[in-house]
Amino acid sequence: QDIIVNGTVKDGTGEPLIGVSIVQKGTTNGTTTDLDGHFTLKVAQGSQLKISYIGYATMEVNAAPDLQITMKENAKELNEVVVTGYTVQRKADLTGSIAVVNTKDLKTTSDPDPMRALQGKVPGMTVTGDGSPIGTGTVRIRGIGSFNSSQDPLFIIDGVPTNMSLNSLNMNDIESMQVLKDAASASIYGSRASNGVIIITTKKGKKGDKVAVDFSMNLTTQFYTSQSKMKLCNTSDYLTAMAQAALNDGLDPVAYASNYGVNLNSSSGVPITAYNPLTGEMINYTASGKYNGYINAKETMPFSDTDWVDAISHTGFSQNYDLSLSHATDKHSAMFSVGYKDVSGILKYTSFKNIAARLNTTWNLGKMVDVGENLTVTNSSQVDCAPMENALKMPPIVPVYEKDGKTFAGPVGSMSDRENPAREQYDNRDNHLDYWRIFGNAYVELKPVKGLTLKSNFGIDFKTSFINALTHTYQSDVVRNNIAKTTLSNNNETNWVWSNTATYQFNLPGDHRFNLLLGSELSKQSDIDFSAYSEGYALESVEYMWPNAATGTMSNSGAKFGYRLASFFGKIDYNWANILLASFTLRDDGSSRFGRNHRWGTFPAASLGFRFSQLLHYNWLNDAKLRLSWGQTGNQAIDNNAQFGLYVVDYGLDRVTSTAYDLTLQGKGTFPSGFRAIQLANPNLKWEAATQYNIGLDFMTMGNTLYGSIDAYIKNVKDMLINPAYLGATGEGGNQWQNGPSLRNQGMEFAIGYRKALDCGLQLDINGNLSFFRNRVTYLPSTTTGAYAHTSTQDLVQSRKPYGSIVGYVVDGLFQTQEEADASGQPNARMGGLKYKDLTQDGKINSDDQTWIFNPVPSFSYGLNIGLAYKNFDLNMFWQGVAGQDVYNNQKFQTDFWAITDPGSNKGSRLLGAWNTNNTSSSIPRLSTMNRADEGRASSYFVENGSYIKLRSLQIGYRLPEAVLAKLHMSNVRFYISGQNLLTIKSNSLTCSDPENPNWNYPLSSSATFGLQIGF
Amino acid sequence: CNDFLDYTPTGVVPEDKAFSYPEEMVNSAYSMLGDCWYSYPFNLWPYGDLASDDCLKGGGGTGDTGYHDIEVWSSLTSSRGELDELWYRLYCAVSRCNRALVSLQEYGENALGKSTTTQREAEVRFLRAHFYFKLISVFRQVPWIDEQVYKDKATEKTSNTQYTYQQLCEKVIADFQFAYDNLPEKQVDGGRPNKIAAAAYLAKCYLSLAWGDGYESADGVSHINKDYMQKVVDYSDVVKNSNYDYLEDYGDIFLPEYKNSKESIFAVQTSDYSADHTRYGRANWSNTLNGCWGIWSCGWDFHKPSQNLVNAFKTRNGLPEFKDYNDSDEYPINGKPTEQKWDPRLFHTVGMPTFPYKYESQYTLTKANSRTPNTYGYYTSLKEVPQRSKGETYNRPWQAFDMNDYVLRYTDVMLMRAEALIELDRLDEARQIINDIRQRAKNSITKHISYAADQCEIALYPASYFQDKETARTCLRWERRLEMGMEGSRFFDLRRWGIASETLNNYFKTEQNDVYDGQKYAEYYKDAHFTPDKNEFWPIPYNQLYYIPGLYEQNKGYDK
Repeated sequence: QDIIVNGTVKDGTGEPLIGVSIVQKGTTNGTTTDLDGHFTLKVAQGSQLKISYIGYATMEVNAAPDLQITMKENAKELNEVVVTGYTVQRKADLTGSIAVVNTKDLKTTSDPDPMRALQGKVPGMTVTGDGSPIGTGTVRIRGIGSFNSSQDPLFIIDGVPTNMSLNSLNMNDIESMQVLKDAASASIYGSRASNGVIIITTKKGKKGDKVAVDFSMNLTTQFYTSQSKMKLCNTSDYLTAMAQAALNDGLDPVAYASNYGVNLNSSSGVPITAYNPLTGEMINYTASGKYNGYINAKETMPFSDTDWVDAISHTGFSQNYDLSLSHATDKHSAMFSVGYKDVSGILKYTSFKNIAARLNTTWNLGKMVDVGENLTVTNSSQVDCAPMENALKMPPIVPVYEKDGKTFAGPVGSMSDRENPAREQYDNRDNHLDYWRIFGNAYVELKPVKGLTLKSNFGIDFKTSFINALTHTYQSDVVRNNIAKTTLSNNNETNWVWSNTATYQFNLPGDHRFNLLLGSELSKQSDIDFSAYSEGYALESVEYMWPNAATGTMSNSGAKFGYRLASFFGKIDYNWANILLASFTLRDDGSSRFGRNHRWGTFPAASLGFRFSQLLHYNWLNDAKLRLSWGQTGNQAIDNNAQFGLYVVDYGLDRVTSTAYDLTLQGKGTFPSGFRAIQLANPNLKWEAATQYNIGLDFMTMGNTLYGSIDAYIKNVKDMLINPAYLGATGEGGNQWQNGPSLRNQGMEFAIGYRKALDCGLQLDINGNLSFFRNRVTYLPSTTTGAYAHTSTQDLVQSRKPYGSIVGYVVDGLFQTQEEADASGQPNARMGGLKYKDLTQDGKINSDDQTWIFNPVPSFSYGLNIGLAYKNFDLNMFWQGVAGQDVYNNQKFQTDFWAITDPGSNKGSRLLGAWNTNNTSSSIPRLSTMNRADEGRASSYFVENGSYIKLRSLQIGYRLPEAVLAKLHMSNVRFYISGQNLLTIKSNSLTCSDPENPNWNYPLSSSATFGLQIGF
Repeated sequence: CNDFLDYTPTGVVPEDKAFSYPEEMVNSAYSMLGDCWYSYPFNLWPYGDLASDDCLKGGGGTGDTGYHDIEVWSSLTSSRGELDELWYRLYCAVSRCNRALVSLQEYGENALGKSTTTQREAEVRFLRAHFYFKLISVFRQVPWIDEQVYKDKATEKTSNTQYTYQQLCEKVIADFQFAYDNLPEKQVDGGRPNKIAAAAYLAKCYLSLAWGDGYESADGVSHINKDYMQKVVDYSDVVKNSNYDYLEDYGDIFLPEYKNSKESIFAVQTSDYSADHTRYGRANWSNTLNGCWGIWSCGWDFHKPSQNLVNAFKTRNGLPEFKDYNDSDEYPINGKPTEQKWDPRLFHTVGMPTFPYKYESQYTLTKANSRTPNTYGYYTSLKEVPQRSKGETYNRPWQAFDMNDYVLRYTDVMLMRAEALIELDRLDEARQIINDIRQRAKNSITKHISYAADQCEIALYPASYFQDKETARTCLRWERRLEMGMEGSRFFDLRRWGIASETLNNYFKTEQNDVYDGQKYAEYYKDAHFTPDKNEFWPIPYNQLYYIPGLYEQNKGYDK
């Protein structure tokens, strides 16, 4: 006899599960649950029902007329709810390439920018950045997206798009973060999606019987290690190199050094020994200040031995605090948080402070209506300064202060006119950029009929920033500034977005499930800049120096700009019995950045998922899904006025582009002025379009312990928006935005993880990722080839090279004798100098001998995370690396040459090992006081292997046992200590300290953190 | 939706709107006269002076700026960035002129009336010819972009070999001729060029062509075109018969108080930021590096006179020491007169340790006022700077002076005239001009340089020096060097006369032995070599050659 079973299937949190398979055991008689988790099935009495659902443990229950079933999760990864653009999906149902970021680690990072903290954690996403307390990471998804329009991904926070930096975001507020990598996933965001989309959702109130209180904090100190600090000369090294350079050129070192305020024939002072190549003898000198022990004629700057990096650095310190209150019932939810960051970097007088308050609420106003909002208000203050280059170049013989102990010293004589970096920092200390940012959205959601949801969401991103930058007067010997001045600047940026969507979910018999989406969106950005310059202040203090107190010249400038975007979009998701999954999207975008004829762009996408594990029924294979996708996305991140031919009045904002002239010989007052061209019109400008193909495989095996995914993609970008350099004869304003080149990125991404609780109590959670891409410029319009890297015979396309490749000479060792140099056909070649390869073999070295020497694309990059937990202890270690990476080491100008840039400035200590007739095995060119042979030209000498592995973080934590917590009425107490950037493994051939910083950027420090997380 | 997406840019004007203001378009063509910078100086000081025997680069060492190549020639290649920048910026100036012409042609008559429109066209063609004169002087084979090419959008099809050097010069002459035919002798607005300025420039153009094509193999005494020389005389007649004249004191010419005096036929106007409502001042940015070290807040000590130039000011019985002037290095010391006497213009041109800086004893130069003495010695150039006590225009970290840049001053034109007269065998008239100039120099001691009075001796040339052309030429060339020293003309003079390689290669040999008070310097000249039939002109910049492969050809002798 048959009975009718009426049942409901829910998950552990009481949410209905849709599409759960219910089968009478041993038969094919079955059904699936509907939108409310209900099912109805006619079965034989006494039979058993097999209930299965991806991501949940399969259950068997005895058939009964009324069944309430709760399923237990067994594969967390698959059940994660993923926000995929205007809708949410279970990860198991995804057909595109979407990475779900583990946001747990973000909560204990000391880094103020969440993206920087994700370096190496998401395959296919490259994050680079410097060590500045303010600096935000540069994010690139799947290679190089464009030449001149933005390469940045689009951020969507709670449905509101933004391009502003995320360092003001409170990381503890982040509930989830997804990276939409392939076009099929991203194309629902159409015209702004071609560089990928990162979706961030903030926390909602937590359900519970009381208000949940969470508090966390961490304290971090930052410091240099030998792996982040450049190896510079001290005074003895510096003068040795100077004397050696002079001797090599047949100059008298005593006379040469006197240009730098040094007497090398002093009766007492620093002993120096240099080699005289003419006589083969070592010569001893004693160095001191030329003017009675001072290096300047006024005798105010004592001859010193200054470590300029030390002079501008201190131990950095940062603090992070976060407090949140949260509560939710069936009717409402609320989450309030306040977070505070205070970071003081390792360079003095650089800091970032941010306070962020957030309120997220939802209200159920009855059966049909939900309303909600997410709102965060932040206030930031930052002081930035970039003194590194000057610190590395300021000679150690210059003291920080003059002999009075308070006047900042400066360069003398032939030293290049660099500022005292300590003075730069100090005088900049009050120049803090303050801003307020209001970011949030409010929505109303209607559910008029079953399966149908109508949503209207209005979001805003408003930022007002403000700086009163003071320039103090100073005098250090001959270098001075006589006029105190201020620049008071204000910028207001307003973005709003209004989106309206309708979704309709329905099932058709035969286990066909559909989810339809239709929507529209309007967004507008406007930006107003204002700046006032004033000079002449009687007092120099941050309190006094405001324009009202100025007595001298004043001027101001200001402008407004912005753009608008209108969009229509739709999406269909289809699921057949969890075996076949498909998705189609279409978006139409109109942008004010293009002319009427080319304003609208259409971005379609389709994707298909095939869960073949459902058909295979292997016990060891818990889940396996093949994904295929194709889609198109756009890019319009160019100048707001790109399409127009424009002229401006330029009365005198800059020195050399003015349109004003004293025609009437009045000498003062307002001169006649006019218009000058700044841009050629292009009414045919249109969207840059990327087409991307993706094939992927997700799998979960060995009892849901081993899981991973593999993706391969090809991304073709065409009609790229460029603003190329142009023929000089075109003259002023010859730049024009054009659609031109094409680019191809192709690559693969691998992610694998293993998670298991061992019987001994040890829990393992290990995951790693590896990705690579290759980039190639596939088309360049003939009029622009010369604007990009090229050799004299090949352009980027002909040579099949990636964008960003560099052309230069190939260095083939050093000339060992002057005869060899003279015979080389290289202009002004010198013994001990760089020998360039004669690629054309025509007996002379000229521009035809250049070839491709630098590839900006690394072979591959990877990350490895190892998490261990035992009883109440946990340990987490994260390694990140890049292999096969070229770096163009700009520091080498300073570490390997005396005179390519700034002769007489301080140098790296490598100089002491340079080639000479008594040291012919060296590969460092012979020192010279002049760069006669143009050895700073782009050459392979500066290209080095920048591959590295870094131990990004190591964290050890301890959680109080449950028993103790219960006594304390607390839900969680965890302490941790962690270290960041503790170890770098790099190539022996790399000559700069940090492969991530071959320039003069803010140093990437190492750091140690103590943290605490508490919950009530 | 389309209304929502229609966006009008703010704070800018579209092209047709801008063109409907022809007067304003002309103004901005004028303002380009001063839109220059040390890396693209429109007064061409690196090309006229550094490249010659008058001056050393200066600054913080040979690697400071890219101009070392221009001093030594041997390492000069087409990829030197300053060349590319100069090319581009001069074409920016040309493009402003072309746009102004289009605006005048389309909207001029309505907005300004016919006669003003014609006059403005003449002014703009003067300006365009001025910029092209510089382009051709430096790069020789340049594409001729005029308002028709602009309107036809044919720039990317216009080759630099479309016209020969001769034809390009004729195009420039045609523009100046149009200006000459249509400009009044005196302008209401003194900053605009007048008929006299056009005549002076025509004289300059013809003088350059009269000697040959610029390359030594087809230039110099044996290639003289007398018809062109006659043109120089004819047009300089116009100047001679105008209201322009010699300023009484040589020193006054280079003081800002005397800008736009009767000596000034055409000059780039400058002003101070505190007076002209601009952020940085319409100052002389070409010379921004050229202040003396330690005197100015930001004096970077470029443009330093050579010992050879100082030696050239030596006099014996008041006349130059043509043959042996450079046999020994001498320099005057303030308050210590010796047997060696000097042309008074030395003390107006060259700042030397122990002497007051630009006539002010409270700013006496010392050896500490030189930035890299072991490379560039101790001399500093005085003409392009104001007096220190009269204040300084200052904008950290760049400083520039409110000093007009002479494009054509009266004496320059008279020297051109004398040069042509000699070649036309009118030696006595030439002597008269040269002696007038020497007489003015002689009169220029008491007012500003009385401290050097007992070191000065200058005499007029007796008739015996102007009996034969060869000696007369020597006198003229010497006079030109002394009178115009450090004013950016020397290299172009040597090139015109076809004697650049001989003069410069000799100079390199001697100048590398410079010693001042025991300090050796200028040794880098051992790398220097001037190659005739190549180095007379600079190479077409590498970037320009490659933008559209095949469009341009490189100048003779240079690699790509």
